[in-house]
Amino acid sequence: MEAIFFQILVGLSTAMLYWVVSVGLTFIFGVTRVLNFAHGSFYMLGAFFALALFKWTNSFVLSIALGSLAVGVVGLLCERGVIRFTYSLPVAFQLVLTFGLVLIFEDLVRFIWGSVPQMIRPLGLGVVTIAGRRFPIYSFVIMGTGLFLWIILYFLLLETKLGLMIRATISDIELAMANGINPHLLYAFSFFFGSFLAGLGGALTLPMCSASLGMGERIIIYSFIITVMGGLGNIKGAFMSSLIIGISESLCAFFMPSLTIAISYVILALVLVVKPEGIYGEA
Amino acid sequence: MFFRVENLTKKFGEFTAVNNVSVSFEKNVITAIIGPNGAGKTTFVNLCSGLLKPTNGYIFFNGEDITNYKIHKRASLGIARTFQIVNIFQGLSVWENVKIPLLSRKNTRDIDNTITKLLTFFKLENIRYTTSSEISHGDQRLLEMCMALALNPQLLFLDEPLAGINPQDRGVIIERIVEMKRSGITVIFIEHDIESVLKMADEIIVMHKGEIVAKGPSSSIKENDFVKEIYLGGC
Repeated sequence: MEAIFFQILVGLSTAMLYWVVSVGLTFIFGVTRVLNFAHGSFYMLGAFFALALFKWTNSFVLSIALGSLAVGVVGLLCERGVIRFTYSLPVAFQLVLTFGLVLIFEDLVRFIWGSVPQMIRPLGLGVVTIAGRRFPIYSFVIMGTGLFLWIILYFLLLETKLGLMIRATISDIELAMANGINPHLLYAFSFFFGSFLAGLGGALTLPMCSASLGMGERIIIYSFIITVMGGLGNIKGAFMSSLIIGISESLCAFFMPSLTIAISYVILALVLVVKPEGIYGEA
Repeated sequence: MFFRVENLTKKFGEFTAVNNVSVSFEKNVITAIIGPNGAGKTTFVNLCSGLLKPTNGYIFFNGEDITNYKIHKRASLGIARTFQIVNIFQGLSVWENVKIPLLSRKNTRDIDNTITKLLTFFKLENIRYTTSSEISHGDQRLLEMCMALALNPQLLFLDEPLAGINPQDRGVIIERIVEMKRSGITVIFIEHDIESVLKMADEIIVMHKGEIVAKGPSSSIKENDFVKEIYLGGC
């Protein structure tokens, strides 16, 4: 029983990391209807930016904040520079374009930081003993960040004018425009904010794993699984799916280690068979 | 002229939905657009409101060429519209639905007060916090008009505002449309119910096969032989 509790705790930490990254993808899709393959690259950039800033500032909090913001700006530039020209084109153009961005960012990172994975020095936060096992305190930081993000998003979407405009655009873009909402401002904001979240996710992983080329590939697959499973563009769905995937993966790693990778796909398949539109449906 | 279109044409492939239409509308006049199904009425309104881009032709509003303006830019200029099938933000409350167009308006000082006034005008104040998908079809139609009015429009297009509305609610909607004119809004609406059209419209435009075949005051249109033949069934 104690082992299960411990695995759930580990799963919660993983789930919150998935949530931070996948809600960015969900947010971008909800507002712009663009399936952004480059989201994984923004995650990778977040890790490398934070790595560089940490070496420079020696402050982890500052490097996470500035690194994530920098990724947000990169996302904004991508949207204004190229992606916005594909809004009225078939979805295949968006997929090819954002995949092209993946290749560009991979090469840029290789050019600047090289191919060797890089880590930051340990933060020294230590561990706590839970159920007789050592649990990193930093995992609580990730859980806290995920929950804080949930509160921020809740406040942004339900309590602010911008949030109401975003919800209206997610609900019906044509009607939102007929009611005077300029969608291009919201598109730009969603790419900034969504990319910021991907960068935040990447930066948050630094104390646990190295920044490396290709680190965005795994996360983009999980982000898509979570986004589709929760219901395309549905933020509540992304939260719930992140919890399901994160905790299932952790429990599977304990009880059936050989199925750890497969479990997410199995759950996605089961959900889609029962509810093809995802847990909460498309936004 | 307040609003005018010149040589407006819209083609969908080989099919011409609106064919070289030139017409002008005066300020503070209620104009009805009638015609059989497929006459091009909704396409014409979609072109005027910016939902569709014309294949050819020009659209002028207060003397300004707005042909290439997107729908949100036209909305900010004071051109609002409702849709043939009720189009509201289903997941949002009645209050939030009315708030959205107000957010896009500059110089809206007291949003809450404005929303209350609008909801009272449309008799929707008692359901202000209800999710809009849960209110009756008639109230949804009123809400849609309330949203359009929240844009503080000079020109309002209504696409079949009485479609699917019960007789009791029809009276309320007709009353509100006439009141809008009194408050200085120019209304152009599409409607099939001739009786209601004659109650509301100062002017009537008759469309057929993408062209305007008659235009004039309600009384004269009613007596037009061509109109009787193609639309009123010779009655």
